[in-house]
Amino acid sequence: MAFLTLLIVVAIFAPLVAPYDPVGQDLPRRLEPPSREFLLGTDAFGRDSFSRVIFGARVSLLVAFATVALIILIGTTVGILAAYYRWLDGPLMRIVDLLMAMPPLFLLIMLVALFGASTGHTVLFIALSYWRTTARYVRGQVLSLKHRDYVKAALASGASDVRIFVRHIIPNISDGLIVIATLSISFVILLETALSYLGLGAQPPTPSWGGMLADGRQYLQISWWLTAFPGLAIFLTVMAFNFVGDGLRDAFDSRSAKAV
Amino acid sequence: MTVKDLTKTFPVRKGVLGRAAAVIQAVTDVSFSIFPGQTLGLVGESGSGKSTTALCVTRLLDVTAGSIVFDGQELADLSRRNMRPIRRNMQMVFQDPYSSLDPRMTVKEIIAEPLRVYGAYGGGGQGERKVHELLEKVGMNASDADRFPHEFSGGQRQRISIARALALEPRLLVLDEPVSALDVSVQAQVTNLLRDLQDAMGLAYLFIGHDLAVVHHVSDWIAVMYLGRIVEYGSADQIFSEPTHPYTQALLSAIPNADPTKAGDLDEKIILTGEVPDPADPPSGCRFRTRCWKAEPICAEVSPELVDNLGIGHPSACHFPELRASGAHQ
Amino acid sequence: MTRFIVHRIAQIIPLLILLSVFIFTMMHLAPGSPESFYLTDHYTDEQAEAVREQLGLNEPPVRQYLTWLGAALRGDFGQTFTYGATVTDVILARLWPTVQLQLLALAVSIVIAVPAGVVSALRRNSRLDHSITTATLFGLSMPDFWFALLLMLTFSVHLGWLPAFGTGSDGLFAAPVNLVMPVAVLGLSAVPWYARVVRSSMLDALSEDYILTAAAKGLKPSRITIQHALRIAILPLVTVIGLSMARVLSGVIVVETIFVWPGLGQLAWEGVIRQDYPVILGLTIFTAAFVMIFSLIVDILYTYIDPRIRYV
Repeated sequence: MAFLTLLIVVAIFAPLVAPYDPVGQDLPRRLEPPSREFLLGTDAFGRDSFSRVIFGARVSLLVAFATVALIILIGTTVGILAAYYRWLDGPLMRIVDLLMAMPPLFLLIMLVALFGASTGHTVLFIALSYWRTTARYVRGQVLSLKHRDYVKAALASGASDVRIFVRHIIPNISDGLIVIATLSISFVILLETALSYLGLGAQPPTPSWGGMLADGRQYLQISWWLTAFPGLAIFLTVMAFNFVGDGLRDAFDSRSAKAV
Repeated sequence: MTVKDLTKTFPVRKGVLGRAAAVIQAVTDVSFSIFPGQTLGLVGESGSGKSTTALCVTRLLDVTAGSIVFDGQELADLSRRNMRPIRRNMQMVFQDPYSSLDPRMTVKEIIAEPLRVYGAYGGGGQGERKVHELLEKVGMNASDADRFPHEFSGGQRQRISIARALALEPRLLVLDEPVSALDVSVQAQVTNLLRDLQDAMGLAYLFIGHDLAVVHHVSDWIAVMYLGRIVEYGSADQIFSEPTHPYTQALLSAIPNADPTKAGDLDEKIILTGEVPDPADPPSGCRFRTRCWKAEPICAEVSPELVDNLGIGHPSACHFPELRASGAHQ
Repeated sequence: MTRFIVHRIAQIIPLLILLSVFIFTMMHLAPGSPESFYLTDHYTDEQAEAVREQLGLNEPPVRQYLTWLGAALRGDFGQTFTYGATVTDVILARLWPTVQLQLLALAVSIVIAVPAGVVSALRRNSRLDHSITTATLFGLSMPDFWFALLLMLTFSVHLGWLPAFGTGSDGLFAAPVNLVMPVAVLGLSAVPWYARVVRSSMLDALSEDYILTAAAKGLKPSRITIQHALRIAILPLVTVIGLSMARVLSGVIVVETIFVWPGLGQLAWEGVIRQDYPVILGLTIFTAAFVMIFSLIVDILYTYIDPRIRYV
């Protein structure tokens, strides 16, 4: 948790924290190993790796938060609509089946390759490729919720559907959604970095963790630090979100156990 | 409210394509009236269609056929939107005190919800006062308003449900087994509360239950349902003391006699054998005949009309109605 | 049972057609143009036109699609744009390397995950359980491409023990030394998922009444766990493995690209980058059919593992 807070703060104030300009090239000082001057060494253009890792956090976190927000939005909307309106259920679930039949990463790189790589596209296409799990989860929850008497009671007192969604359904599925969102963040970070690694994410010279790893791969023979540190940044960040997600799930589990 | 020939069927879907393979007749040709300030009790075993009737009457379910007239207005074919203004006058209380209150809302929010829906939750503490009044009316404390449902017992939760139903000052309350899930001692408290509220506010009740003794305690009129049909209908006292349908008699004999020395001729218990038949495939003719000890060939062919054959003042749907004085007085 | 299988197979075809419509639409909505791959930097409109003509891109889209569909229904997925062979041939050539990789990886992950999950469940809340749980969390957080790079850095660059690229063989089987790293990455990346599933389903199974009954009858714990609990606990694992097979292509895209492994994952990557439409379409249909048939097989397997389940 503390690590996450630190990470987010660092990402927001990246320009203040980073010792060097992340895109400033210094060709004479290329491929220098970590030293007191350059904490994590320099890359093939003489750019400071430490500054680039810090700025890379911005891209990864921004993409992750935006994507997860979009995933939750699409997934929840589709899930609620499918569960609540029986005539929509068939068509919506067929779309989910259709997407299920395609390997999501294949779908993702296909969309990115066809429509071009950019940060916006990364967010949009990851969300489009991965909202289905959330939709299924929400649909299942709402199907059981909608037969609760308090939903009937709200209907009996003349409440509109929108009111029932907002006041009764969403609050009662929010625990699960928060867990899904947290775990999705780590998952999206992994995807985004993989995509950047393949050259389909944030475009150079924007520093991104995946992109740095791809650059580092070419200098694997001589500059181990270019591979080690960006990867470590990804690993630690993802693990932090996984820890928080697991913790939240346990907390919510014991809470719902207590309520019953 | 007057209900006439209410019928509700559910299709049973089979297979992936969802063909309607069979139709369940949940409610068939049910008719009754409810008068202001009075209670109609609807009694039957589970699966008799009593709860479906309640959901149809409040139009939480669509009606297959028949008419429901409330305040001179036909409800059976009203759209959801046109139903809204009517719901103000017709509220509902559900059986399960645990699932009928949203666990994420405070008591205040729960009771205030109907008011907010109709824009009747006044500002400047007005709505809050209203909620406190309602809580006190159902025998709770105004200070309970900020607590959550899980902090209360089943009986208290049911009181909260009633407060919510009363918020809009309706004229009719549909009570779907409001006390069935409660302990016997708590049942009496809640039924007494309902009676007091009725006297004070002139409410009409449609009270649904499976325990004839409880229903008799709160009702002015009783309709006995079996497999979607009303089999006997009359004033509460008539049903209780002069039942003529074998099913009603069986239900009454199941009530434990509080005073064993006062043996009536119904003293020997009537034990119904067999299961309730599958509503998707009800018996021909009289639906009760498969469990009836008086069944004759005609019962399998002709469905008995709900008429007063004995001329004693209330109708009964049986080919062989018979007056048997009940021993089941308090 | 037969009816169930026939019914399920009958559902597959329309879904595949729908999928191909979707992919086709996406391709035509996309701004890129595949012919540019064939043209030098300076080309005339006539040249571009000729290439388009040759690739069949000048027909109206609907016509193009129907032509493709007609041939596809007869089992002909057309010529690739860039490989100089038919789509079917290219896919078949790439199939075997991926299958080799995947089967070995699956074996590795099961061999590690099942014992880990079982031990974790049997010694619930012990120190061992906690360290296994923490290890799975580590594994879940590890980016597989980074793990691959670290392995390369260690074993190829510094120690020089393992080759970093390719299959190392022209024959039917890849060279063992070349298999080690890709299999390790693919196999280990699935271990945390499987181990978690085994642990939780094993915990469920152990608390079922008949297991307790068996314990009461005096059966030795080891027999109980293996014979009864594991049998039930394995069901969810079969589902998860089935689902991850569905994701097979996703996993191998990254790993095969890194290790330059000539399998389907690399083909998917190349096809997408080169905008080789017939390859993309063919692969989509192929993998989707694979996914659906696999989930059918999983459902059938169920009936053998748990006789209580019957399909009608």
